Amino acid sequence: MLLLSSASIHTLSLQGRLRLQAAIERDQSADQLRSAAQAFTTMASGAQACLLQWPSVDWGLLQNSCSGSEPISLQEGSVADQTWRLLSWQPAAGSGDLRLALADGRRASFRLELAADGAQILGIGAVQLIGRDRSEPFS
Amino acid sequence: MSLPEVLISFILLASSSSAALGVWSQATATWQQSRTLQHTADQLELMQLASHRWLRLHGAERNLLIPGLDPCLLDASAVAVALDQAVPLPQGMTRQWVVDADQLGIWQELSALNVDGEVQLQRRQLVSPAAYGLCRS
Repeated sequence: MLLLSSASIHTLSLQGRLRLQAAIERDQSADQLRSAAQAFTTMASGAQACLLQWPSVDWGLLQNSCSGSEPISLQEGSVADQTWRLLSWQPAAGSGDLRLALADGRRASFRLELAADGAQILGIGAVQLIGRDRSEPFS
Repeated sequence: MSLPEVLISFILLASSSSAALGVWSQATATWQQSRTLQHTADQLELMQLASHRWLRLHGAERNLLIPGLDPCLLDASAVAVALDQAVPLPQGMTRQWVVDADQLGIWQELSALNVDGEVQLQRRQLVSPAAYGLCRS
């Protein structure tokens, strides 16, 4: 009885350790996604900043409105050893919703604070992990 | 109960108690390690959040950019000095700022060290001045 209860407590402590390890991996995964979002903000300055005023689905139609901009530079990139891809950008009044994915399918969304003209990022919100998409790997 | 039966019962009880004590102490050690690691992970997360909060609220008040670069880039030394003052690290933690090879920003590397000075846990995140409205166009 004594041995069985000790074994149960040991199992519980091991489960706690595994949960903690998973949480640490989740934090590090969030760091990679946050880094990708930070890289996006770097790319979304200068000539590309104009694109922030429109949803990413419309970027291909904006040659006249955002002359000199290159939407492709906001649609994918790499940071350290990780390749990222833009899933969507959806601006609203004073903010925008950024969705990114890493090459292995991990995805996250961020709320970006925008200037009144909608063409400058002023702040970036906390990462919201939205799970892994294994169906659409990209290189 | 005969004497041999008493002896066997005693031996069984002693050995199972000893084994239970061993398992119990192992469980306690695992639990204690997890608790310490959790505390360390929480501290790293707090430091990271505090750095971002400071950059967001006070980044524009200090001259943190390298002049004349496009896209603009944070001066890693200036950021290190400012953050060391504003967000001091607890004991057993180190922070390094490393310029990204592609000039996308600078990397904040927060490390928690164990008693031997080895890295126990590390968080690494890119920081871009554009994310805090520091690159005025």
